[in-house]
Amino acid sequence: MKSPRIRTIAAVLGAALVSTATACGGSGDSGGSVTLTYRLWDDQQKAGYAKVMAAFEKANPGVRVKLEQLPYDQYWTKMTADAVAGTAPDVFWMQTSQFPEFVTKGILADLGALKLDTSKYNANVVQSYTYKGKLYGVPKDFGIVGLLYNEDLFKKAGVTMPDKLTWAPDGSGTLLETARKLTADDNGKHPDQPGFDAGKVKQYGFASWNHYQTQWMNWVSSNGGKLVDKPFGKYAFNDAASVQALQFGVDLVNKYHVAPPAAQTNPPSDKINEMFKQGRVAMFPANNALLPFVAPGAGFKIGVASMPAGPAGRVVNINGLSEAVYARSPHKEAAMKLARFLGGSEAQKIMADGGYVFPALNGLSQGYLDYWKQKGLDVSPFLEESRGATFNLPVTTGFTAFENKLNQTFNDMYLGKLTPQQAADKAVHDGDALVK
Amino acid sequence: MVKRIALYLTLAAGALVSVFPYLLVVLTALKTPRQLNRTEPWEPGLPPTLENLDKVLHSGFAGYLGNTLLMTAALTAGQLVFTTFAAYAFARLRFRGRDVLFWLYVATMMVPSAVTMIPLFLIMRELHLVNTWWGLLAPYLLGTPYGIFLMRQFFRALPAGLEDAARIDGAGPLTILLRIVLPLSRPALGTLAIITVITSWNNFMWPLIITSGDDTKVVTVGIAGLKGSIGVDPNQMTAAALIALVPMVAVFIAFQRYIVRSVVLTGLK
Repeated sequence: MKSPRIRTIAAVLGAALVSTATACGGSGDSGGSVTLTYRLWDDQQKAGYAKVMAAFEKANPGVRVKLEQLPYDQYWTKMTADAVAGTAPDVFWMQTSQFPEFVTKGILADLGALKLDTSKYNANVVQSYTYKGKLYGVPKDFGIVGLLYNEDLFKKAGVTMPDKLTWAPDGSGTLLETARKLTADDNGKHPDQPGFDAGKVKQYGFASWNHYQTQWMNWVSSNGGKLVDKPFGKYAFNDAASVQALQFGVDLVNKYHVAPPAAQTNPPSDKINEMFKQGRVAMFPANNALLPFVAPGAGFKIGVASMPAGPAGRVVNINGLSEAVYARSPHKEAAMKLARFLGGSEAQKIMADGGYVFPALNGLSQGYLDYWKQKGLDVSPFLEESRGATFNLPVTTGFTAFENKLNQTFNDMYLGKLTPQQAADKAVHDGDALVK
Repeated sequence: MVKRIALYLTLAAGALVSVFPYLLVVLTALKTPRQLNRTEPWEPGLPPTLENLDKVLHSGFAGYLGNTLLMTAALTAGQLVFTTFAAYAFARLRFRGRDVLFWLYVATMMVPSAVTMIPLFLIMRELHLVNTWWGLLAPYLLGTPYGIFLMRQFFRALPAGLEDAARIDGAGPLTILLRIVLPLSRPALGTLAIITVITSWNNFMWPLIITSGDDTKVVTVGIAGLKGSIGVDPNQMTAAALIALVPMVAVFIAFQRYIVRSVVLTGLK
């Protein structure tokens, strides 16, 4: 029935499909050279890593590295799919909240063979990626929470930033005092003055909002509260000290009126960030990694200060990324070589000097300070903080599933619909149910 | 008269709602980060800046644009060729189970694509097509149910007498299709081409899942990549969106007649 012409077309098409399919499948190990895939999510750091990989390729002839940058929102979905399908990249970025899921499923390679001297790296980052006494990620960088402030607003209000900001659950301390002076309603009245209209605030002194990394976890830790009982353990932030600290964060908004109402700032809103850049919030706790997104848009001089100290001293969050090696990588030997290189001073110096990150390897932070100094920002308080008391984000399984619930519960707390005790009890209960 | 005014007011409100997001994209893309924080969203930043566009184009976007163009061209060509053959067979050739097969095929339109995404990914993995051009194109290259439905409806509306006359003159099915049916179907083919161009250009989910390297990255995935874990640069994102948007707006303005016709022809959007 078929005409000869159709048959020829079908044959040609079929042949074309087969030949290209085999051509695609055959690439990789031919000719003694190896191509590694390296995956990251940050569009800005990609430029820095292009330089790092060029240096690696130069030092390791025969190994090539292909950079893959994925959107952050889909990075983890895709990484999970790839891990299941066996198509994960050879080396990739890992973050603390995802680490427990990946390491307990055997997706990450044990890096013991690299024999890294872990004492040379930031201790928080090393600890975050240690599981059962073994290291599963080469420490890459660290980000730390500091206090960004609007120097112009301080000057206009005639306020100087105190040498040391302090807070206490009863409302004493220099933080609240300073924040009050910088909060003003449409008539220029401050929150502690009669006639202050909390509904018509022109400018807020402080940003207190539902953000665990830069906000309440810092209050909890600096009040002597605990987030988890131990790494890979259960949640503990419903003890008395933690609840007091949570109450303070909420009070800044609802009782003292020095921070914008939760209805505006609750996640997933990014409003607080905008408000700081627009000059409507004077003090804004933020991770140093946010600087590239804040600095260019701010029409005022940004100052950096240390986070306020609580009754238990100043304890701030440090969160670092690591370079993970895929346990089932077909080029494991080369992948380990790359991981070792990324942990070395040559690679980490490139990233520090480019102003991308504080390197996890000790002794290289000056490059990062210099980069920002040249942009008119003294970021040394971040570094100084990292040498003091710090805490890690809770590292335990199920956090990724918990995160959403936690944020919803605490949204209600900041809105005043749940008391801090109720919210903490509910959150701890929900979180523990997801720990495996 | 009052009715008329009410009608126009409603239409104007509708137009504002649909056009405003595009206006925001244009305005934000042409502002510096500082202007963005100093002006209301609907105000233009003066003087406008091309810095965002320049930065985006130099960060690999030109390459993604090329990839999108290539993907769109390949999918459109594939759609036109294979859909025409399939639709003609369903419309005119007589074979056993034709209608059952056709309706089964069209019924797949009812299954949300999210459901078939994972099986499709697994199939591609077994074929070793993950992260390749073939993997990116394969699911859509051989025609889509929508296209086949559109073309079949059109073919069936053509007078059968023309084909009978050709058959009497000794023409086979292929000759009839190429010499008689296709020249008469130009409007439908045009519609199909435009619809395919637009859907391929805007496709996000499948390219995101199946490919990850820069050499196969398309603009939609590139735009999503500008959103980091910790901060967002709205100026750059809207600049990228603007770059992706311009060709589609041009296509729409030039060919809107055909786009409207596709809805009229099939009752589908």
